[in-house]
Amino acid sequence: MRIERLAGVVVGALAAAGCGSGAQAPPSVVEQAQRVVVMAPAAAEMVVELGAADSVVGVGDFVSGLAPLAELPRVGAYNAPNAERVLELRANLFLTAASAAAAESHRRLEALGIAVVPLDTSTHDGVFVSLATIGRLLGREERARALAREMRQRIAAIRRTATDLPRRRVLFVVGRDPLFVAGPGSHIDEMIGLVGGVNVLADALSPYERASLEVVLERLPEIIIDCSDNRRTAARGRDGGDWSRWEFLPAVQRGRVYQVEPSRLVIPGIRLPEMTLLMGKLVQPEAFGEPAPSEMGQP
Amino acid sequence: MRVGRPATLPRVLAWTVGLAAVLAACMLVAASVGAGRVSVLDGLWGGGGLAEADRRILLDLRVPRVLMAALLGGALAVAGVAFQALLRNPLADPYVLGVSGGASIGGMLALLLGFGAGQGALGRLGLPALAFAGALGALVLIEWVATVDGKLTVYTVLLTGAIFNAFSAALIYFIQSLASLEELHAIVFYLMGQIPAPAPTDLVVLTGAVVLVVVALAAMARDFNALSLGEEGAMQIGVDVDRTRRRTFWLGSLLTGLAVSVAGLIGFVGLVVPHILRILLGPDHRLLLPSSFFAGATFLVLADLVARIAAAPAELPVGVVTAMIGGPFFLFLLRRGRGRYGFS
Amino acid sequence: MASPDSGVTVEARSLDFRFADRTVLRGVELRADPGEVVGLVGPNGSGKSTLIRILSGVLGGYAGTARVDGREVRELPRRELARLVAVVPQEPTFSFPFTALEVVLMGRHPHLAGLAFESERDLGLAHAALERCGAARLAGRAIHELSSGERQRVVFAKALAQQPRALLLDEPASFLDIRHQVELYDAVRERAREQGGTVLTVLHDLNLAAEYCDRIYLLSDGRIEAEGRTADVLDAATLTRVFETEVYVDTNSVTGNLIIVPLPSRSPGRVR
Repeated sequence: MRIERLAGVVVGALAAAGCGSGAQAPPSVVEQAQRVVVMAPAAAEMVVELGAADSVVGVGDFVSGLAPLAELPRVGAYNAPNAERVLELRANLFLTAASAAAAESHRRLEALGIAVVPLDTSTHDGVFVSLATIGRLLGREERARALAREMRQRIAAIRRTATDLPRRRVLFVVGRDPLFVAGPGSHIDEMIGLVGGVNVLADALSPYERASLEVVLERLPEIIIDCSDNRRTAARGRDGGDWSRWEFLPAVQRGRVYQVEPSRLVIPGIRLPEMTLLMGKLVQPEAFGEPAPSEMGQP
Repeated sequence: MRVGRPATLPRVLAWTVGLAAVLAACMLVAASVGAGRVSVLDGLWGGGGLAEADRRILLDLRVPRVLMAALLGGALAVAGVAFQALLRNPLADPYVLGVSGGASIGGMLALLLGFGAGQGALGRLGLPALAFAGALGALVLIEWVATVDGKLTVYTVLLTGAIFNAFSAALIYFIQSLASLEELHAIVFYLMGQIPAPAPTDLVVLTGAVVLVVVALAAMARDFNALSLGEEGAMQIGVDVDRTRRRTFWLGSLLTGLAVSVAGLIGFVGLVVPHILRILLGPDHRLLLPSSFFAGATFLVLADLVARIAAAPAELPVGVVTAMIGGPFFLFLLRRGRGRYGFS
Repeated sequence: MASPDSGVTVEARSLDFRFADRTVLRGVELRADPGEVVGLVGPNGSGKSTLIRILSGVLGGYAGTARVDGREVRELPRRELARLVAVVPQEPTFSFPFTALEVVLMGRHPHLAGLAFESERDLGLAHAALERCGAARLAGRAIHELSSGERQRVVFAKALAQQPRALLLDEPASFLDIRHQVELYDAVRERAREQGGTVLTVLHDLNLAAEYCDRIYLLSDGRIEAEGRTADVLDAATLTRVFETEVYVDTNSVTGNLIIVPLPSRSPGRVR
C-alpha cells in the first residue's frame, strides 16, 4: 500500500520537474544521482541517515550541525538558490523544500538539466513520504524502508503508552509578540495528540495561528511549551519565564512551563521519534519521565 | 454640512466633552467584549463573582489594551491633523515625513537583537525604546537634511521624508531577506501593527508624554489656521512661520514615533479621522485638534475590538482592520464630498 | 467702521535686493505717509511685488533700509509688524475650506493672544469689513466656492479687519469687475483720507492709478524711474519710454484726472 503511493509520488515529482521546464524529462535519476544538492535541513538529515552523505556536493544555507556535510559549499537559501554555484558543483539532483516562492529558480535549474525534487516535510506523512523518495532517488530504498519502519514502531509505542493517560490541556507557543500558537493541522498538533494531550487551540483556523492571548489564558492550559525564543543564549528548561505573570494558570501553579529550543520540536524530520518522546515527557512526565534540560536545548 | 460659524469656546467645549463621552462609552463596550467571555459588567456588578482568571484577564490584559488603543488613536489622529496643517494638504498622514521608517528600522533591529516580549523588563522596553530611538534618529536626520539656509521648507521636508521612507523600506526588505523564518514572522507582523497591553507604569508615562505633546499642538491651533493662507499669508498676519513649521514637525513626529515604537504601523487613523472631522466640523483647528484626539481614540478602540474578536480565537493585526475600515470609508467620503471639497 | 489710530510712514531707502543671481531692486527710494494713497506702477517683472513683500516682512536679506513707523522691518517681531501693516495679496491661496467670515477673522490674528477666541468686537469688525467690501452676503460661503473676484474682496476685507496703520495692496483689483474695482478703491481712498491711514498700492490699471493715487512711483527693472504727483509722472513720453509701447494721455472730463490709453501698433494716431 505504501509502495504504490511512494512510486506515485516519485513519478509525480519527476514528472512535475519535467513538465515545469517543458524540457525532456530527465533520464532515470536513480543511476545518475551521484551529485546532490540538499537545501532543507530535514532532507539533509535523511540523506546522512541513509548513508548517502558522499553523494552530497552542496548544501543550503540553513543546513548545519551535520558533521559529514560540514565542509560542503553553501548554495543559498530556499527561495534564492544560487544557480551558478549549483552548476559549478555539477549537481544533477536538487532536493529542496516545496515552496511557491522558489518556483522560478526551480524552473531555471530544470532548464539547465538539473532534476529538482521538492519535498514536503512539514507533516508526519510528509516526513515518511520524503524519506521514501530520497531512498528511491539515492538508491537506498532498503535502508529507507527499514528506517521508516523503525520510526513508526517507536512512535506507535509512544502512542500505546499514552492511551490511558489523562488528557492534558497543552499550549504550544511558537512565537511571542505577536503570539503564535500551533493549531490543528500542524505536526506539533499531531504530536500533542499522540502523547495524550489536548491542544487548547484545537479550534484555531490554521496550523500556525496568530492567537488572542486572552483566549489562550482563558482556556487554562495545564502544560505550556514555549518554543518562541531561538536565541542561543535563551534560558532553557522548566522555567515559567513571562508566563509566571499569570499565576492563575494551572501550568504556572504546577510549574509545568517549559522553555524549549525550537529546533527540538518545531521542525519535523528524521528525529520524529525523539521529538515525539520529548513531547511525551513534557506532557506526561509521570509516564515518560521528566525531560532533561539538555533535551530542551540547554547547553 | 456644517454651519458657517467660526469656532467659539462653548462650541469647542461642547464637541470635546461630547466626543469624550462617546469615547468613554466605546471604551466600556470594548472592555466588556473580547474573544473570551469576560465582561467588565460582570466585574462591576458581580462584585467578587469573577473568577481569578477572568479578573486578571480583564484588568491586566483587556483594560490596559483598550486604554492604549485610545491613547494611540488620539495621538495618531492629532499627528495627522498637524501634518496636514504643516503640509497644507488634507491627504498627508503621520507617516509621510519618514519618522515611521526610522521607528520601523529601530524596531526591527530590536527584534533581530532578540528584544521582544518574553525577556523581562529589558525585553519589554527594549523594543519600543529602540524603535523610538530610530524615530528620533530619523527625525534629526531628516530635519538636518531638509533645512536649507536655516529654514525648513515644506517641499524639502516632504521630499526628504519620502526619500527616507523609500530608503527605510529598502533597508527593511534587505534585513528581511537576511532574517530567519521566525524573525521574519515577527518583523512582518510588527510592521502590521498590534496594540500591546502595557504595564500600568508604562501606560501612565506614555499618557503623560502624549498629553503634553497634544496640548502643545492644540496651543498652536490658530497658527495652523493661519497657515492655510499660505506661508506668506500667514507671515503677513503675524505668524512666525519658520518656528511654527519646526515645532509642528517635531511635535507631530514625536507623536508618530511614540505610536510606531509601541504598536508598529497602524495606518489610516491619522488620515481618515482628521479628514472626516474636517468635513463635519470645519477646518478650524481650535475645534479640529481636540475633536480629532477623541475621535481618533474612539476609532482605534473600535478597530482594535474588531481585531480582537472578528477571527477568534485568532487575532487580526489592527493595522489591517484600520485599513479595511478606513480605506473604503475614505473613498466613500471623497466621492460624496467631491463637489464640496475641491479647492486650490 | 471704527477708525484705526493714525497711519504710520512706510519707507524704503537705498533698498537693494538680490535673488539668486538677479538684482531685483536697485537703490529704491520710496515713501508713503499717512493720509495719502501712493501708487506703485511699472512693467511686469519690475520688482513691485518684491518691494511689497520686503515691506511686509516676508522677505529678509535686503540691503539698505526698509522701515515702518521708523523701525527697520526685519527687526520687528512679526506680530507687531502685522499690527502695523496689512497686505492684500495678488493671488490669495487657501489650502482648507474656511468660510469667508473665518478668513476675514484671521485678520484679527495679530490682535489676539495665545489660545484666545475671537470676541464680539472682533466679529463686529469682521462683519463691518465684509460690508465695506460689498461681501457681506458671502460671509457663510466656503472660500474656495467663490469666484476669484469675490475672493479678492474677501481678502481685502481681511486686511481691513486687521486694522493696520498702513495698508499694502498688490494688484488687489485684478479680478474685479469695474463696479467692484471702484468700490474697492473708494474704500482704499476713504482709508487714507478720512481715517488717516497710509496706503501703498501696486496697480496695473493706470487709469485707476490716475484716479485714486495722490503720488506715484514708476518702477522699471528694479529702479525708480519716476516719482511725484500723479499728473507729473503719468505723462505720455515717460510712459512710452518705460512701458515700451505708445500711449495716449488725455484728461478725464468728468473727474479732471488723466486718462491713459495704450495704442495698438497700427492706429492712426501712432507715430511709426
